[in-house]
Formats: sequence, structure tokens, C-alpha cells
Amino acid sequence: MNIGSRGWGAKRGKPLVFPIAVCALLGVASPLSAKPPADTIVLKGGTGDTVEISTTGPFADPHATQLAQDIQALDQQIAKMRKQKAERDPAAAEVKAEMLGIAVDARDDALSELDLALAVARKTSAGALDPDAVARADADARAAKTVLSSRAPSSIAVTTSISTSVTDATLHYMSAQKHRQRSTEWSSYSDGERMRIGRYVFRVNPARAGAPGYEEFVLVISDPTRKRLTPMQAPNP
Amino acid sequence: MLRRRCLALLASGGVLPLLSSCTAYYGETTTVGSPIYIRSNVPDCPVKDVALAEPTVGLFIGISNYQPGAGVISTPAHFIGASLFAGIFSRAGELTGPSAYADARLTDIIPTSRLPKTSADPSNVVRVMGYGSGGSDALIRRAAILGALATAIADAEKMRQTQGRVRLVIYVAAHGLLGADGRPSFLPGDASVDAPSTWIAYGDVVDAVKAFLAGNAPGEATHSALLIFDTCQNTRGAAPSAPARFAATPGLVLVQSAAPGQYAWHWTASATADQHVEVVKETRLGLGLPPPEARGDIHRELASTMSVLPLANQCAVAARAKALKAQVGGRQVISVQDWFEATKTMADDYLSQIPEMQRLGRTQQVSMVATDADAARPLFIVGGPGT
Repeated sequence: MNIGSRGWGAKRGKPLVFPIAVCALLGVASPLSAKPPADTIVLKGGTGDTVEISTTGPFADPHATQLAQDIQALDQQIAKMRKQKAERDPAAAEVKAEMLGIAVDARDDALSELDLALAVARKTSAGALDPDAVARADADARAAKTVLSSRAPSSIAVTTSISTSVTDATLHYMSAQKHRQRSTEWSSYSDGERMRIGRYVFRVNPARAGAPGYEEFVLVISDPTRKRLTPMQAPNP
Repeated sequence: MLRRRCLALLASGGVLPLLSSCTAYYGETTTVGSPIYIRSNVPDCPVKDVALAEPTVGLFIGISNYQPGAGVISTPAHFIGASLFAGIFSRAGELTGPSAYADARLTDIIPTSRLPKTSADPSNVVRVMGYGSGGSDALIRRAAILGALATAIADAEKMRQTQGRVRLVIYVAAHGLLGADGRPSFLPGDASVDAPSTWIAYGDVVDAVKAFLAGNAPGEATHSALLIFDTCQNTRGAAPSAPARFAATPGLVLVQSAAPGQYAWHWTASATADQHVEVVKETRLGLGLPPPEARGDIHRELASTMSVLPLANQCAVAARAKALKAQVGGRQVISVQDWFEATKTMADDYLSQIPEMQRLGRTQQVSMVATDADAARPLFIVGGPGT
């Protein structure tokens, strides 16, 4: 998915309005006609768009560069996994394909969040990456790495034990992708529930009326998957 | 003269506007001492027959280049925005200095021949700061900004003495932060995000302007000011518990493009609506850029962004003036309140079209603080003075 180095540091996808011929006539360097600089990492997103990350110069950010390099490393691992010999056992093959899909989705989400973080740096008067988007990109990239390095469970559904330190709270969950789409369709969770492997967001709802809830990303990949949800700071509103 | 200007621009090897643009864009200017110039007429939002309602001294600051290690990236958007904003207050710049800034003594948007003959000095002073002190230093440093602020205030006081009244207009487009103390600040080119002492707090500029407004005798309003901060107010680290709020001060109109905790978004090529294709084309041409050697780290490529507020301002004034001329005719006034409401409405429309802002679920609140009396004061005259 890493398609090499090119361009000057912005998201592609739409043709530029300004004609190249006019640029050439005026001696202005067109982004399309410019020779790709070697200091730009170009990554392809899940929807076909490309994201360019400057690694040096005035548009460079060390954290963005690190994330881009992490995603490049993921791409190499994913490509390697795709080349591996197919499983003979249909169940094992299904699990492996599912794990690969989870890793690819997490990688794509990481890039999407990095793109969003870069957009804040480039398209606002903040001049720096959006910290929330960076945190999500980090989490997505970590999830992809974890999935790629995890031993495949024997089944696509695994036993889970998700609990919380918040007294008398109830737990709900939804897939990370639905959560990204701002879905409000939470499913209630029961301890010991078998869940399909994947990336989820869990919500802790305190029993006390009016108390704010708390959300946390959970990767369900091992059998069993155990996790205790503990608000580190003030709960999310 | 037009031909000389075009040649001067091309010979400079810096700005490369379309050849055909030279005749179209410099119709009423006289000399040029720098390739920096100001455009007032965005093709699809032309501002015609609109004059400033009061003698005006303007300082428009667009800080685009930041020093290495500043903690923020450089962006052409701020200078382009400042140039465009200044365009409303000036037809074009008569320029001084090789690259520092355009220092224009201008006849506002109305041709000189149409200005009132009774005025002793009909000129307004408009200064645009986009780059540093010339040479290889493309940074606008903190000291230069504070110096320009003092100069603008001094110029305004001189104008008040000759004209009897004056409006001081200050516009700042820059990276901004909300400090741990809750004070919104903007970052000069030599600032560091890790050192709040290198920032300039809104409050420090407000205090300087308040001192200028103290020149008003009791019951008089000979001094007024319009202060516009077009910067982010996001935080690094924990948000302050009590962000600073500005109270209305007689004589002062304070506009902020973002509220505490918010980003100030830029209009970009990727957010182009059909009706603004020309604007984007124009910014791609490198609106108002100095020669390459004075551009610093940015502007080596075509620029394609600007703050939302200047674009909204330009198109809002154009639309309001057009509507007033069509509906009422004759000489009409756009008050500060009318201007702000039209600009805010236009800005909100642009902001709703920025996909990244929607994806992040963020909002941006453009606000104005002013007394009722100041909000009611005329800002622009449509149809021109004396018509």
C-alpha cells in the first residue's frame, strides 16, 4: 500500500483546478508536474486516496513521520502475510482471513486519523497535529501490529471477560468502525460473552444518574480476551 | 505605468501573476517598489463603490513563516488572508521596502476623484505585514509586531489630529494558542509554543488599543478601533479552567474568529465550492508573495489556502453592498453590526463545507464584543461618500 514517494505534501484525489500548461508558461512549479521529492512518504488509504507526509522541511512533524513509518512497516507485514501459504483447514483459513481484514482495517483507520491530524496542522491556525486524532491513529496502528503478531484463535468467536473498576456500572459495546461513523447503536454486554474477533469500543455507564460515561477501545483477538476498563482521568462526557 | 508595473513584477523574478492579470489588477495604482501587492477584487466577490466610513489606519498582519523548532508548521494561509482582508480597506498598495511589508497610503476603494473635496487628507494608511525585515530573514518577529502596533497607533493619532476622527483597524492572522493562564495569544514568527513569553497575548494588544482609545474626551468618539484576531485558541495539554473573556469597551470592536478551545479553519483548494473556483485559482497564483529569496521556508509552491474569515469578509461586503444598491440605491451605510452579521453568516457557510472539521466534530464560533453604540457605527459607505 505504500506507493513510494511523490508530490509536495497534501492529500490527493481531486484534479487541480489550475492548468499545468499555464503553470509551465509562467514558470510556476505545478504540484502535478513537480518531480517527487525524496523526503515525502506517500501512503494509500482504504478508499483509494493517497496521503503524503513530509519528513523534512516546514511541513514536517516528527510524530507524523513516526506514524507514517509505522504504517509502512505494517504494510510490509500485511504484504508478507498475504503471501503466506493458505490454510488447509477451512476454519483456520477463515480466522486467518478475518485477522488479516482486522489488521488492514486498523491500518487504514490509522492512516485516516493521521490524515485528519495532518489536516488540522495544514488547514487551521493551530499549526500542529490534532492530538486526539494522533492518539486514535496511534491506537489503530498498535491494534494492527498486535493483530499481525498474535497467534490465531481456534475459532472466529472467542470468549471474553470485560469488566470495569466503576462500581455497579453497566457495559455496552459496538464495533470500532460503527463508533467511527458516530453510531449510537450500543449492544449490552454480559461477562463471558462470546464475541467475534475484532476491534470494539466499550462504554462504561455508571449506575449513578447523571454520571458521565466512559469509553475505551478493546481489541478482541485472543481466546479468552480479558480486559478491565478503568477510567484514567475524568470520564468522557 | 501599468506596463512598467507588469515588467517590474516579472523582472523581480518573484511573483508570477498571469500576464493578463497585470492590466486587470493594477488599474489605479501608481508606482511599485516591491513585488508585494494587495488585491481587493476577488473576481467572484468584487467590492465596488464601497468606501470606508471613517478615516482609517489599518495594520494587517499575516504570520506565515515560523522559525525551525517553533513547534508549529509554516503556512501561506495567514499572509494571503491578511492581504485579502487588507484589500477591503485599500484598492492597492503603494509599496515601500524591498520585502518587509507593503506600506500603503491609499485612497480606499473609491477613486480619488470621487472623494470629498473638503477633506484635508483623504488618505487612509494601510500597512500589511507578511514577512520579516527583508533579506534572508522572512520571519515577522515579536519585536517587529509590537513596533508596528506602536507605529499604527501613532499614525492613527496623527490622522485623528488632521481628520478630527479616526478608526484604527488591526487584523492578525497567525497560529494561536490558549495559554495555561486562559489568555488567548498568537505566535510571532520567532515564537516557540513551549515558551509563552515569546507569544503575544490578545490582551496585550487590547490594552495598547485601550490606551489609544483613552484619547477620547468625555462624550466624544473621535477615536475608535476594530480589532480582529483570526487565530486558533486551542490548547496544548490541559485546558485552562477559566479562559479569559473580554468585556465591551467603549470605542473598541473586538472580533475573534474562534472561541477558547477551538481551531480557526482555513479555506483550501480541497474545500472549493463552485462559486469560489476563481478565489482558489487566485491564491494558487501566489497572491501577494514577495520574491523567492524573501519567502522563507514556505511559498515555494503555489499557495492554495487562506483563513476563512478574510474570504467571508470580502464576499459578505460585496453581497451586502450589492443588495443595498439594488434595494435602496443612493448612499447607504453598512454598520459594524451589519458587517459582522454578514461576515459571520458567510463564514459559517464556508466552515460547514470543510470536511475535516465535520469529521472531527468540531465547531468554530466567530464572535464580536462591542457596545451597542459602537456596533451601530458606520463601517462602510455604499455608493461612496458624497454620492
